[in-house]
Amino acid sequence: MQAIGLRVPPWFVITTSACAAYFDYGERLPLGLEAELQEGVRRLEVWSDRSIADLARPLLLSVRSGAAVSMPGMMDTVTNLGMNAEVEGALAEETGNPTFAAEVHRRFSAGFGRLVLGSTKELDGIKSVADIHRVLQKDTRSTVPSDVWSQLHQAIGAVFASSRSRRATAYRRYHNIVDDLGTSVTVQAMVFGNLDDRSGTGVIFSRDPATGRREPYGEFIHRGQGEDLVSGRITPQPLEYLARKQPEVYEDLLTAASLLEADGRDAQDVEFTVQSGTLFLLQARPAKRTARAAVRIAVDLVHEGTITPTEALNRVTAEQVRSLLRPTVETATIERADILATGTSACPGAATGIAVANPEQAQGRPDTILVRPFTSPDDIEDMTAARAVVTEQGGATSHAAVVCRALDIPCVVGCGTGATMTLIGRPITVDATNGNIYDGAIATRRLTETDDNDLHLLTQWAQERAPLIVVGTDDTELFEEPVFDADKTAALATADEEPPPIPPGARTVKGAIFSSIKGLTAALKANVRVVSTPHRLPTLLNAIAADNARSDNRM
Amino acid sequence: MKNFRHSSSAGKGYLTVLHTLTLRRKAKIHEIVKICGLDQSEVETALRRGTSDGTVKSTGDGDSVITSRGRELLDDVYPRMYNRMRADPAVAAAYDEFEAGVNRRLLRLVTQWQTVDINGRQVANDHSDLDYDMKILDQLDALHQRVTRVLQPLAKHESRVERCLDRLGEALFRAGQGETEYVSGPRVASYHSLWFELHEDVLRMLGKTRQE
Repeated sequence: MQAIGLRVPPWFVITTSACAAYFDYGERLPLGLEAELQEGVRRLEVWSDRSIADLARPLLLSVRSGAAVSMPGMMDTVTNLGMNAEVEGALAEETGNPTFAAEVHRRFSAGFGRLVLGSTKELDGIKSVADIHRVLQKDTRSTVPSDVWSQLHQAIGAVFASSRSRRATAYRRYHNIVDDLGTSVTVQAMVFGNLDDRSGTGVIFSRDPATGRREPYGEFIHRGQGEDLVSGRITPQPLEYLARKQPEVYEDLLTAASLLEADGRDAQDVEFTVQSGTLFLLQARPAKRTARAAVRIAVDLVHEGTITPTEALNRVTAEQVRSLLRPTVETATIERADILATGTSACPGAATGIAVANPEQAQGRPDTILVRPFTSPDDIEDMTAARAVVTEQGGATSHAAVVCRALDIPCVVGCGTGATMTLIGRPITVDATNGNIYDGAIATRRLTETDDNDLHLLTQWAQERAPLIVVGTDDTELFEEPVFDADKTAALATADEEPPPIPPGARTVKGAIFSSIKGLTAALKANVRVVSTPHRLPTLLNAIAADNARSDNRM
Repeated sequence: MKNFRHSSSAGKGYLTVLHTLTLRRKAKIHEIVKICGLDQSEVETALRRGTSDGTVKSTGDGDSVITSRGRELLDDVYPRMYNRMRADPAVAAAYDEFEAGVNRRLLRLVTQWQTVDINGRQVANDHSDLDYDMKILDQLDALHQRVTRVLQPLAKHESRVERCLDRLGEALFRAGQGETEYVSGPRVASYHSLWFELHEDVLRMLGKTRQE
């Protein structure tokens, strides 16, 4: 970020060779590292005009893994390092805000306890530092040192150690990464969003993460720190608040977001802190987005000349496209319809059918909706066969919700006692996106790849680059003989299941199983030329992915 | 049901197999073996007895299903079959901790695995953020260690609990190796599916009803 001229809190890096030495040295900090640390801290002190453990203007630090690529098992960032009882007092006096100082101390202790001392206790809810120390002593038989340099040494050691955590090691093994390069450590000066009235912390998305429109979107917590945004304990303001209160800062922010988006060639999620009216950028990465936004942004970036169509196809997944193609209930009709039950949406979508409580009632009908007080493991088969699932008990985290999401079946839970009795035997419509169950069969709308501009373009680009031809299930005139129809032979295929063996010489395969990567890999191996699935784009995206994986394996 | 009143240890195998069949809609022999740990021959003997007693039915595809008669038999027998477990205060305490703490946390973690929060909305996780996924797997790891500890009093009475915990561990290992369907995929022996079964097993052994 500094490379493109943005203001970032100063930092220094402890390189991976120190990490290697740490392990060679029996997991102790190597000689020479101490001098490096002193030098680095000194530079931060000069820049910030604050000092470690100082009682007038104390400097606090964050310590994190400096790995360029995020590897699983790496430690989270330790923040507010450099805190102890004296420093807390000093900070309270400097800012005139003892609550702020106590909160910073509390956060540091909880974070250090969890990340460096390895405590698994719930420390975030504990109000006083003394209590946190007590819990840590009992849980880990060690405590947070009050000496700041000890804190720093231990935090750095913990980052080094995390590069050899079980999960990091397993990750390297799985991905055949032979070299254990260890990790570097980034030590950075903390800036305080909670320092004074002209301070705050926030996040800005360079494009709206829900719609993908090219409008900045974000949140800001006046007088808050990063953890406040993450924990959700304080409700943030929309960015317009910052635009009103500190317009120059807001302008700087918009410029920064724009630069970062251009540099990253993708919509960015940028974390920032304002300290006494000065904007600091903390972190920028590709923004999380909804399926709708993913499609929109990918296509817009191609139109803007920022990325190529091939890259655009990499930015959208088959799963995202499938979710856009799910049926939804016609809004015009539901205004006139009777709501029979409401509950919590556990998995979005819509479906119509007859409500049944068990397979006997279903009598082999294909359009059943399973309605039960709650579900148990032996219901899984029925849930798979149903068009939707409705339960009386439970919330979005119940077992029924988990299974339905995994199966991608519209599901409404927690409709309350008696819902089963109300619904059984009737034709109903489940609007699982909004959690409503309507009387009767209401028309559902389905977006198709042709009537949406963005999807249409992506489909075109994908077919131009796919290793085989993908057609819809009704495009039989495009099939090439001989045709293998898996839908007729295999029952209930999903992405988890193995595809059925493809008869040698088959030139076209048909069936939902062939929309999955496993199915397409099998089709490519069998030299199939045409694949027919209900939707084209998800299959095309997976075909490209399967082809890439095969080339990677061959290399 | 005169046979079971005179049941010997062979009867225990019969009841174990019947109980196992309540955890699935239907199951093949090798699946029953996997869950309860009995020998294949013991399972076959139990199923034959079940068929002749009318407590088990076989489908055309080699699956066995428990009948309503079988369920009634179990309901009758459960208190005696698991009386020691039900009387053990350590088990009662363990069950409470499981329901109140561990189970809810598992469901929350799996939900976080399946959905992410974008702009205030819950959206399906497309597993493109490895960092996010790995953090959840780390937490699942910690939870697995915790549940293994919490359920020890039950495992002491019933070896099937220990078996299930081992199988849960295997699922978690596979998920960590990149087979993401092993977290909550309903068609494989995923962590969530096995957990769901284990929970059902515990509820039945202790005579509790499921509270969602």
